[in-house]
Amino acid sequence: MRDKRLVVATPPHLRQGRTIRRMMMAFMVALLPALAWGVYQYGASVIVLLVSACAAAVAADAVVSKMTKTAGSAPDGHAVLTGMLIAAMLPPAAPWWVAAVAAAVAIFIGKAPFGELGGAPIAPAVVGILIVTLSWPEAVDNYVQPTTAAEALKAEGVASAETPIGAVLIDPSDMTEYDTKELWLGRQVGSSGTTGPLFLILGGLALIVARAARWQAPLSFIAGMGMSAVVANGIDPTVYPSAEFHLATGMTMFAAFFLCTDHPSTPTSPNGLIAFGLLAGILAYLLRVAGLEFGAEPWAVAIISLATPILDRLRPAPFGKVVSHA
Amino acid sequence: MDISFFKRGVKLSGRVPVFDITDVKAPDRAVLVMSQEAGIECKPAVKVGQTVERGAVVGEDPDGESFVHTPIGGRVAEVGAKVISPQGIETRTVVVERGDEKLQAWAPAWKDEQGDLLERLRVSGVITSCTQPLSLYRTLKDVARPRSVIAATSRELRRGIDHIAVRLTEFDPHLSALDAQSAQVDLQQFSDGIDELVKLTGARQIWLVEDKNIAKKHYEALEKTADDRNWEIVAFDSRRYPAFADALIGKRIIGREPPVALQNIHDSGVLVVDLSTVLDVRTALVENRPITKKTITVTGPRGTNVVRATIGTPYADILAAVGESGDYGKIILGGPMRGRAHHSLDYPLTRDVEAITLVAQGDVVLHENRMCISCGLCTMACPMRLSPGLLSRYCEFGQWEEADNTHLFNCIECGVCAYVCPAGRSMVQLMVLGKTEVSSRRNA
Ligand code: SF4
Ligand code: SF4
Repeated sequence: MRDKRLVVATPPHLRQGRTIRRMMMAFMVALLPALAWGVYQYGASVIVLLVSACAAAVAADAVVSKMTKTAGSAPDGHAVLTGMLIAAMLPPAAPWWVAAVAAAVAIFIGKAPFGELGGAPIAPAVVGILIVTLSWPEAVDNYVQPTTAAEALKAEGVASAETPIGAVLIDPSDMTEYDTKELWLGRQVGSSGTTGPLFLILGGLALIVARAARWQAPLSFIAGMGMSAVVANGIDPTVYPSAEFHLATGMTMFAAFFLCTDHPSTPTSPNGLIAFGLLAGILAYLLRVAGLEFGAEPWAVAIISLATPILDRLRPAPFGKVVSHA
Repeated sequence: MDISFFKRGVKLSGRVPVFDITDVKAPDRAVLVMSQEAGIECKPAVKVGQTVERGAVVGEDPDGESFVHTPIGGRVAEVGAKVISPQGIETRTVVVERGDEKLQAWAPAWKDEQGDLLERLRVSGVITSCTQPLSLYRTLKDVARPRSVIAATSRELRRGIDHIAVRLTEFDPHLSALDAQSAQVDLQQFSDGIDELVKLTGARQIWLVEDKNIAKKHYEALEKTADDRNWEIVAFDSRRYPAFADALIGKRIIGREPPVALQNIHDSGVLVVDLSTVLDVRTALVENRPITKKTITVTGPRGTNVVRATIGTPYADILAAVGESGDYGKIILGGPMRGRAHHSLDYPLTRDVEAITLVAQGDVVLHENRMCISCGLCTMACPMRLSPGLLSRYCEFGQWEEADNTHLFNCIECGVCAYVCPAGRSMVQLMVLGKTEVSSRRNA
């Protein structure tokens, strides 16, 4: 028995069986209903964006992994998830190369400099989106009516449609034109994978039930956005739309369930997560009101992500009296 | 008391309890490791060729707080051979070969009752398997001595323990040795052990801590004694691991949170011992014998057994006694949640081991140790309300001071954080590394 090769390891010798790969898979699956709704609404253009973003993310990841001689994140699915998140955030009529550039930027600038998964201070997908937003603003401000999407692929310069948020920003009286029930059901102009609030909530709840994500940040993001809207709406209902309008439009639900749940860039403690969500929700509302039609939510999440190390100080008090060793 | 407060930790599948104990014959050649408690190294106190009686001291640590006794009388065959302990530390052994019948009587030192209780406890080798297996003497030495005597009544004033909680089941719900022992305990011996502990500590209240998952009938006799003697009974769910951690038991029975880090039990007033420690205390203080036997759980591909074996018996002999053999991929000294995998079966039983868990060649799972993704699953599960992810990163990158300031020493090494971690991190290893580094810096 002596010369057998035995594995020496530290406890525990049993694990629950969670892996990063499964966690990423859960996110991908959770995003599918909303993406499927996008495909239903806008047709092939969403698929084009998805394919180009995912392919670019995986290719960029392969380059990084070759350069750094590490396993890269293709095996655990993070690259593909990043591509999916980027495609979901882009308007369906955005050119395919914008999706590819955003995904490559996400991996090269948002992720690679910070090493393995876990180091990035801002979610790579958010970095990718924000950089293309700054570089080609006209390409991402390219909203179309759901049925015109197929033509948008062929024809240049299709008459663009207004998103609900954009419309209300220009003319507050427009808010009466929207039926909130229709908005919840996803019958609205918006980005490829973010226009179905109910589908996003469904996916998000599944993530929370599967324990791939935690409830604190999404719920407090919604609360932060909702409460800000309630206050503003209370001050002047003719200028500021209702909380329900804000929650059902734009990327609110997407940001709550898919951006605020990016683990590396958010705090770990429950209180830290609640503070994160509230701050990001309030900031996203302020950015919207300030006139940012596209990207208020990713901007807000990115900015609050920078405060994560500070928010992480809201740790639970340890068990027992705190012992100081002088 | 609030019994349901404990929501942290993890849900484990637990075991099918075993209530039979298999006795393993004492070996003819006892291999006695000089490190029988983590972190304590005894010096051999005998020479090759010397004749020793059963129970004689063959090793003693320089501080006089830990002793190694020979379980058989005979001739010292070997002194000083080097072995690697499960903690990965080099230690030495003393080998005793069985001599004639005469030598099998207990050594005279144990026959005359001398010294106060604590003094006798000191030399007896009783350990308590709390967070870390620790000699009961070391746990009690500061609290069991009277602090002063009230002159008028000549009553001793003790600051310290007022509650003793006796765990009737294992910390790790995969193990069964304590179930077997509590199901067939000799009630008189148990009561005597409790009496000695009360004398030692001055405790006023005794609690028996049962496992909810064990059928009531196995506790019947104990419960009756408890009733007669006014002991309290509580039952927790062992599968909500680690419900049976000392600090959590103390919290649940009387609501006090002790400063876990320093194991300062006099600040919480609750001493948690397990049933076998109570019986050992009786052996040491009533029968005046050192502790040379240990009841452990043996789990292998063939199932679970509880065996009573002699300290110094090679593991191969213990396995043979329960019919275990084969190609193992991993040998864990301890249970799956807290035991350490050892590199060889060629090692003897020591008193700080509570189980042997064998994993077949094909069943070994290797865990990737990746970077922390800050998912916070560990933060939600840690029973000590720590931030294990953060702590593990501090320990990974050598930020010892930050780790210390983030309450590293409150970690009880239960392994819950590693159990849930999707990144497969070796959390406990990092915590232990951090503790070692911080302590060595503190002492420097
Ligand atoms: S940090 Fe320590 S006490 Fe907390 S779960 Fe991990 S091992 Fe257990
Ligand atoms: S469970 Fe693992 S990956 Fe998640 S925060 Fe804890 S250490 Fe990091």
